[in-house]
Amino acid sequence: MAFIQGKKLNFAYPHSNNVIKNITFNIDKGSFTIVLGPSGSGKSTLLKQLKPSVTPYGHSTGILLYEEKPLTQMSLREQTEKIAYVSQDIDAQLVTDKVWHELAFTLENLGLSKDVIERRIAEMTAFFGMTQWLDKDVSCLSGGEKQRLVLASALMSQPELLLLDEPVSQLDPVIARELVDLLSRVNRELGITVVISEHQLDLLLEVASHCVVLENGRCLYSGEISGMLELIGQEHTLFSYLPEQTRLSSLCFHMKNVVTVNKAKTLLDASVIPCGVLENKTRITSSPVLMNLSHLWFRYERQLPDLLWDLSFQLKQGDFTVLLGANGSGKSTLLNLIAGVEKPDRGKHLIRGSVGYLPQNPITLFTKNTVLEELKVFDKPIDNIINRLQLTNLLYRHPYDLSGGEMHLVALGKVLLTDPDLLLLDEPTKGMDVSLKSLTGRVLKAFNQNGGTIMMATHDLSFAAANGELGTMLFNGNILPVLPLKRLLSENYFYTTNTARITRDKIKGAVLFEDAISYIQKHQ
Amino acid sequence: MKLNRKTRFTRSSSWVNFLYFAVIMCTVMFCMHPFVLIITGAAALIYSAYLKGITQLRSNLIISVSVFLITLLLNILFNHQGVTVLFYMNQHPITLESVYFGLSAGLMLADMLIIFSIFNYIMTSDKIIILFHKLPVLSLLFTMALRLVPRYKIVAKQISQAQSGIGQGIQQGNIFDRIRHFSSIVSALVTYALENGIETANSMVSRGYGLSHRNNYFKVRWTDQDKKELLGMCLLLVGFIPAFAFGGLSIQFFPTWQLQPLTMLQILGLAAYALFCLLPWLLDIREEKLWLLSKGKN
Repeated sequence: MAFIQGKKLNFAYPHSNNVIKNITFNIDKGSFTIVLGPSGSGKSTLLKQLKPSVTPYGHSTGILLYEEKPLTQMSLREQTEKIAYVSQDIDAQLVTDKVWHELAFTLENLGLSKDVIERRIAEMTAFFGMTQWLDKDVSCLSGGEKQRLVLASALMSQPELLLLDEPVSQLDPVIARELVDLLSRVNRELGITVVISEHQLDLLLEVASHCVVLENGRCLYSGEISGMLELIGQEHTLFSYLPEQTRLSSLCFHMKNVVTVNKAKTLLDASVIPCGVLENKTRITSSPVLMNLSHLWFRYERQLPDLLWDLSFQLKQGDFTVLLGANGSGKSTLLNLIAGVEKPDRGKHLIRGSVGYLPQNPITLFTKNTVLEELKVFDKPIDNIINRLQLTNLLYRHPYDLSGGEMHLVALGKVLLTDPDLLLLDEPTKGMDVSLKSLTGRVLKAFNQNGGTIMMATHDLSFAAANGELGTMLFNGNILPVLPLKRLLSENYFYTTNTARITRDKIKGAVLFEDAISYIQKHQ
Repeated sequence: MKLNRKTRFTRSSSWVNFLYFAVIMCTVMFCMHPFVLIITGAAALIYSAYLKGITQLRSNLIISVSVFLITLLLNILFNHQGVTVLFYMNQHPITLESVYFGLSAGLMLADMLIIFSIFNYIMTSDKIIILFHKLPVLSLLFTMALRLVPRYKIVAKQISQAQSGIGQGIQQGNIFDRIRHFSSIVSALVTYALENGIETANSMVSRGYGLSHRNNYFKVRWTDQDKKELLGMCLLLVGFIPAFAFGGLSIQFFPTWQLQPLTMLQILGLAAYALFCLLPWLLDIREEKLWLLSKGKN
């Protein structure tokens, strides 16, 4: 007996075409299922069908069964008890001001007694390791702690099914890893069925058991992961969505079902391919200094320790520098200081030229009702930007209705319209799928080749490796010496691409997926 | 968030805290008897010094004393009631009664300020919410507001910074540009708030808000200690209410200042009142002693 069954499911938002078309799928009880596909393929829409109280308004046809009964007949109380839903926006989901109250919220609504509520809180906080911060204000939590709180609150009603809408791609890798581990534990240890819509598969593929593959609203596949890996070969349009380790093993060793870095590395190390070194050419620029920070100090509040201290740093014209570093190491703060939106406590800040700054949260750049108005703010010709960023289809949408990746793209367009000499980017690829990322990469490279200077803070190391020139890390309130980016990444252990991790012992300096593949195929 | 020092009284039930503040605030407001004002003020000062230390107390005192002096001065200058004229200033009589009244009124305001500073320290948001617990909608509204205010503050700052990062900040351009930039930042914040409101509402519905039989949960327990404290306070109340009740502690300022001699009942009442005012402090130091003793045994 299937746990959840969809038969010939269709859904359309009012006054528009079907977003999901004739989808038939199964979700087994106790499975860890990924609903995967490119942006706009209908992943989130399908996920929201699985809990009627969060399904958006629209027209749907077809049959959706939950344990053989139509899901639409399930009462609100039953839905609240059995199905938990976690949306993308972590902050907006937290309703109350205290951690304990957030945990109790669902159970209060269900009208459970104080004893039961306390027992469940005791259990859940122990499971999630959050007993220490029960009395804290929600606004004082870090991003990772908030993510854990959202998940714990969702599980308070002891649901059978946990739905998560793109939880990973909005997070940085460390928090994302933590979340995936937790989800895997929830699935394995508590037996809760987990269904995730996601296009960022790097972390999920190793823990998931099943998947539903969507493309343009149609279902290509529904079943076990291994079957999906068999189906999506190198000719397939979705091949580039698979993690680097999977693609590498498939392309070079014809092993399609490799999901971990370790397995791919073992394959490579055991193969006949000779050891080698890839020379990475770096452009040495002797151009004039564009931006100079000298002996900068900064802290947010008087009592707090210095976040950045005695920091000196230079950017030359035409540089494309990537800034790496842990959460809270001050990357965004440094960009704020360079952009001049935050003033240093001490030190000199010198800049020759104009700055355009794309902050981490692109929503903060939007002030108008459509993308078109948004771009027209500067009274400059916008056709060029629209073409370069392929925004034609988005022009009449409200900025808030865009997907996370599209928001970043429009925000980038808005910043580029200010015609900056120095472009500052804070996590510009957050929420983007593979195709949007490569588009963004092309745009940034073109900007850089036309003499523009870029400084980018990112956790997306494949993207950085493919586009950046120089790299540095922020640690202990200071910037470490700038190196050619590929050299930095090939020497790094953790802050590097999966390709570099796989090829570490065989091919020195192979950071980029394409470089590694061409080396391996040449020597095979 | 400011983390306040935990003492016995901060750990007491909100209702104990609330009763304490309600009683002394009402007393100070409705009774201008000098003894009452002095007792309250002294007790509040002692407790404030105990809670927040001397440095904090000094800044409190500076404000209180200036309020006291200003009230006194204003009364002397502009209140010409009373029959005992001390001297004339610009043909306006300065009376002894207005001096007395100014002293009392000033003391009352100064007392109130110190009491409010303690109130602020003790009655944190979660204590106030518990007082609303018979009004579930109001208490939920209150927690949600407490969640939203710090969040919107952060977003407002982010938006303003992001806009100045693309040359649309409040500090950029001529005066008309600045006004335009400011209004778009405000409109962006409003849009953000509305959109987020929808997301939050969805999350609430998804988590069962709106089902019947909602039950308010509070992470507090009604302890024996709370009961004892409440009982003690009630006993003291019974002790001093009669002293106040029959006009024994009333005072007349105009036309002549008259203070009735204290009877035995009133002296006892004032003693009970003093004890009541000092109760938080006494509870706190007793708790500290007990703690030290219990550690000493091991």
